[in-house]
Amino acid sequence: MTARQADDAGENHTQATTTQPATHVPDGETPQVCPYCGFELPADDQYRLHLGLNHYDQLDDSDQQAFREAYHHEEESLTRFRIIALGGLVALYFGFLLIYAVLAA
Amino acid sequence: MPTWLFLTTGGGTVGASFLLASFVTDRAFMRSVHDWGYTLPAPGRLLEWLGRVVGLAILAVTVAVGYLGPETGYRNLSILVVWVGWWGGYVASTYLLGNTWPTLNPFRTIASIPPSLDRPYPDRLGAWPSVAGLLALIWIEVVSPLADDPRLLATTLVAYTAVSVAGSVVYGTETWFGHVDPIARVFSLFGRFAPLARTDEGLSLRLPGSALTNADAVGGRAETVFVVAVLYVTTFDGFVGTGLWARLITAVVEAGVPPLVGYLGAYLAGFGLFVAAFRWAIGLARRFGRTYITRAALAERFAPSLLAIAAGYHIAHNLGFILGLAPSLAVVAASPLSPPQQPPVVTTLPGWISGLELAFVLVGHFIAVWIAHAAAYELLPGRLEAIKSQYGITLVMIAYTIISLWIVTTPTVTPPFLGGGGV
Repeated sequence: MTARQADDAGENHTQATTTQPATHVPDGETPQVCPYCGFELPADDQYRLHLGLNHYDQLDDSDQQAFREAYHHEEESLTRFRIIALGGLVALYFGFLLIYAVLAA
Repeated sequence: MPTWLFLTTGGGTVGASFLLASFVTDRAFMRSVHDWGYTLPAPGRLLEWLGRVVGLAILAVTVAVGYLGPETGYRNLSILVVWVGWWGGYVASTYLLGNTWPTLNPFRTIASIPPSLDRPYPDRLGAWPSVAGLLALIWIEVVSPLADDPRLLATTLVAYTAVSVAGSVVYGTETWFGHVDPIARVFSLFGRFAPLARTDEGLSLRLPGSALTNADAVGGRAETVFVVAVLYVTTFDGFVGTGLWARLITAVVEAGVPPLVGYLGAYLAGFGLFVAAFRWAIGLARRFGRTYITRAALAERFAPSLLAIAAGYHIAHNLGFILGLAPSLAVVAASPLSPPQQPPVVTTLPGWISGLELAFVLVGHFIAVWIAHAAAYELLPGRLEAIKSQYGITLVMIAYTIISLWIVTTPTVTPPFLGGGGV
């Protein structure tokens, strides 16, 4: 991802949520707490994405870089998911087509 | 075509719409869709005043004709106005156009006349009284001959007015109709789906359902349960008219259970099942969405999508009924005190009407899938997590599509042991 694309991600893909919803952390887990809005998040990547999506302008260079990497990494798993979803759509379509063809015969 | 195939096709279509929506992962695009809209000038004071007078006049005529008109339900204007004009047609206008009930609501107009004590409303009650009120109202509608007996209907309207006035005197009109009154809350929720809404700037025009992703579309645990109740009561109303229910309740009554106990048991158990299914879906959203957001907060954002389903189902459940009885309403309204012996009805509707009903069920689900999708993207930072968080709610929607399509298409029978009743 180029810096320009990453900037787009920062500026245009922000979440509209200004007041964050209530959270509850299960016992035994330590949340990452956002230093800008106090929102609690699990796992490193969710935290990085939250920082970039909601507070991109306030981040320093290394945090912005970390967000770009998390966003880019997410793109790869999204592509995998899309292939599976497409397979699911095709299976649904042809599955029903076959059933209808068999019943119409 | 076998029924199972028809039903699974419906469920499959909803599943496919979830998969299709999962290709849209661009938050900026989603927001641009939801932000589309215009602001129109608000209606003037004169129109508002006129709306109040019309609402009052309709209530007055309905109650008067309920007592003075013929005793046969299908010849009495009050039955036709309430069940065909209001519960069928007007309710549809609250989600297809906009919620005009705060202006038209004759109970509110009357209740605002006496001075109020303005006692503080207990905050912990929230929307719970309206949940109980809605369940109670639909229960009465299902088990009593309210849909056939004009005298009983008129008395119920008078009683409803009395309760509204009493509530307003104690807590104030705004509090009563904003928190407690179940009908006002149904219409207000449907109005949040509608393309037109009253705002401070005037009338806002938006895409149907697009406002349901707003953070404040549904507020509080009680209101999420209320949304589930709106969906449930319409379903139950349809379910008691199916052959399956007739056989079930007959078996239960033959086993020695009083009919009303059987009806009430099934009514409450079904509601519990709906709430449990929704909670289960939210639990999955929390797990697959990898978030610490509370169940209650997630439920608030996912519940509005169910309103689109409720609207689609309401129109599917009522369209044939409204079209069939609309001529009766018109003819009986022309001479309410001496209506013809057999008011005209459309007995055979063209076949495409039932196709249209099914289309409404599906369109409601498509919009719901989209709203859940957009809400998940507003809530969760991860795009893949936002998609996965919808697994549970999508499965619940698929199951509900199958149930509601079955109810809409299965032949209607009179619910046994109730002595008529049930629209």
